Amino acid sequence: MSYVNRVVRAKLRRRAEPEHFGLNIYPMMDMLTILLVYMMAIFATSSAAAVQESSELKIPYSTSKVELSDAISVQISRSGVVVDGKSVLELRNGIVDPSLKQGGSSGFLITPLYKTLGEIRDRKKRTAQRFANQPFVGDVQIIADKRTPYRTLSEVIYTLGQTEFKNLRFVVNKKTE
Amino acid sequence: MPARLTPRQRAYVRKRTRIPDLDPSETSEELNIVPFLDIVVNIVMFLLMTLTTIAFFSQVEAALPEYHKGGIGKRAAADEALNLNVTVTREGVVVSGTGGKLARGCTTTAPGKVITVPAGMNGEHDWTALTTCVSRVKKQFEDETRVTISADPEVPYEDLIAAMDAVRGDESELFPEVLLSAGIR
Repeated sequence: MSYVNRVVRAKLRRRAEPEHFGLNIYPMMDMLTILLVYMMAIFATSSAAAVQESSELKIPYSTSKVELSDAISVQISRSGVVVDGKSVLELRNGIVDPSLKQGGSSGFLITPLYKTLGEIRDRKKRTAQRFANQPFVGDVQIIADKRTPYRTLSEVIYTLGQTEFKNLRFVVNKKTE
Repeated sequence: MPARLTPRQRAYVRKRTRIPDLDPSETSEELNIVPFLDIVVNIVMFLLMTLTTIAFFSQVEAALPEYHKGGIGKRAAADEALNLNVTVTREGVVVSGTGGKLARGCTTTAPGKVITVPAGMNGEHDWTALTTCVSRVKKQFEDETRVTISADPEVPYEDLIAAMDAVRGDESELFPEVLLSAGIR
């Protein structure tokens, strides 16, 4: 039987190791991981607004080349006003309901918007008191539909002004040459 | 040493040296990273697409007019400033300043209801003409950079942005400091 075992061992020794014929994807994975980390770092530091155009929100074109900067966003579509992703009031074809304004149809101050912006301002001011490197400067990013009437825009701007947001940044599509 | 194996020994050798049929997933000793790679590729694609969308956006800067307390010296100096106002209406654009409303051609002022840059027959505004007009003003007031823009209530936001572009100039060489007012005439 020992001879038989020797034959078995010899056969097992002679057997070649199975070869791997797959493509080595580790370098590619390394590259993709680095790319992913880099892009996530860019997004973390970027202040770019999440702007999604739709039939309700068509952004106008401009020749301005100024890059987007960090600010709270006020989005005015045909159907509503959204502040920092939170819906604040509904519009009817881009018009504010007079019952939502102080002073009715002739008024400029939009009450629900004033309340929301006031809360944001107070929060930002509290942060500014704690951290000297984050002062309250009153920057606001306005993303508005191109059909929005100036009356609605001026009402929103007036309300922004009343809540100390005085530096307006209108987000526009870059006009290509 | 026997030269040949008996059938029973051969069967035993075959049994001991047989290669088992393994499942493909069992043959590799490494972790299968292909699904993970799929996820990473998808995330990278998504991020790249979002980045491209953001790259197409820019911003137009403006501010709100501020109230200032009156002062004898400074107030008097401010009164001599240009105070350029551009008002967008359905009929056209009115350009005015401390001296009054500019007439067509932008060289003289005119009283009453004046449209400095009238709109075309189809209601489209002539923004190039507005740029030409304010550049004439700029030649006379080279140090001025501020303009106040207002519009009639029904004027669309798109026209406001176009007016801002027109008064700013291609290289922000005309009036880059834009203030917005409520549009009361």
